[in-house]
Amino acid sequence: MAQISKKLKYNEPIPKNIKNSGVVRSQNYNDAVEDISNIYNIINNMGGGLSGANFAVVTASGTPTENGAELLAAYDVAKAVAGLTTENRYTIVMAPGTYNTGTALLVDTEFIDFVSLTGNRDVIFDLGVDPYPTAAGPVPYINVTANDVYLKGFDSVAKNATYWGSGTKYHFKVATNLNLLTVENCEGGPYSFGGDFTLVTPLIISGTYINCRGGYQAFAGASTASGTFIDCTAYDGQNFGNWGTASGFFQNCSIGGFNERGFGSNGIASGTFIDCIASGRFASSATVSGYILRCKGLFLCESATITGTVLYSISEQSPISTVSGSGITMYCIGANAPDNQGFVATNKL
Amino acid sequence: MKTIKSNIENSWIEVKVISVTDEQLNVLRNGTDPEKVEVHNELKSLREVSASEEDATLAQSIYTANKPVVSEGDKYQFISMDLTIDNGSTRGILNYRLNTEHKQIRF
Repeated sequence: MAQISKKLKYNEPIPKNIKNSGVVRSQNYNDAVEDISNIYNIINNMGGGLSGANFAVVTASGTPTENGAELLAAYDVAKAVAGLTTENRYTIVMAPGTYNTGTALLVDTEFIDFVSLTGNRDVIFDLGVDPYPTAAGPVPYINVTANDVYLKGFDSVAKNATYWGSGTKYHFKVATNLNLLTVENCEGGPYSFGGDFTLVTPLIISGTYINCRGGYQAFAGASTASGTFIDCTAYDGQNFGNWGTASGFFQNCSIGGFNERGFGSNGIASGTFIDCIASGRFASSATVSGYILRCKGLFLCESATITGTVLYSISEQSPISTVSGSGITMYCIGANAPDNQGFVATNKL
Repeated sequence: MKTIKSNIENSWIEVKVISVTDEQLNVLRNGTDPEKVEVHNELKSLREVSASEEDATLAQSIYTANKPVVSEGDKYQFISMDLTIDNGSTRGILNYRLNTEHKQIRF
């Protein structure tokens, strides 16, 4: 929280917003002055006084703990605003800095958005705890349970996690089937953005994720990826509906790590995949009923049942499986061999 | 909270929360590919069951209310629907193709 330094002067009129708030219940004059001064400054120090009916700026000019408290105070103010709807939203603008909210930032209220002031991934969370202490489950730094929310520019410090080693980012947790959630330019560690850690309760990731980055099993690993994923990168494997269902829309997404898999591998790839890359398996050992355009994998549609359409795609180290039913693979290269299965050329010259 | 899903039009599955043994978890994290496939298939068969008549009726009515009106000559392809029933309220997403274009309806 920003340093509280200003005091009301003797006989200085009490600001109307404080006087009418009904929150001051001090028993004597001195305490009342102290209370009023503090509240006045909390409100006016948000963004150096930069706040309005539908926004507040968190300046993050203190220590991580103070910044975290300032953020939580701003969130409390926002939650008290009446009449918020999907069209009448409240935005908390967060300045670049490190934030420690003590426990996970619980995003539990609809229509209140959190965005980085710069738009960059510079709102850094550091709760000071191991994000992956045991195999039993991660300790989330962000926990989103509200549906109609927009989040932009979140990241974390890299920790030496007991279970995942050094350089591990935090767990960005989202609840199941938040179909109106939009997350942009955020990064999380393993199982972030809907990976099923325990493999007990597969999640449905039906929101919109733009330019986000996640670790092992992020983006609906062992779950259902039925939302929209654009420009998202998984730097470790088992992502985008791997061992589950990839029925959403995926554009310009990628999976890194050696020989890792995703995009419905070992599950169902029924969505639309455009300009996506997997360093390992792409819709491999899957039921491919979707639409794959200009994609590439080390093993793309290998050992798969293809009833969908695969166009202009490359499988670098294995043949693309033979199509069945209404399946088509056209203008593809499977293990360096041209592959035009299901396509009968007509009107040949 | 209940999860109802469909990958085949008008056919509804409930995804149940199940228990996974430490042994199964160990295979899923450290086993060979064939071993993982076997465990995943085992878990899937336990996790995915036919939706109850009541849930299937609800899911079907939500699908009917949200599916697009298809003009004559348009080609509609159902992809999936994911429905969450949470304390009496419902939310979810319908993925489909209309004339090969991928579309989504969130409800």
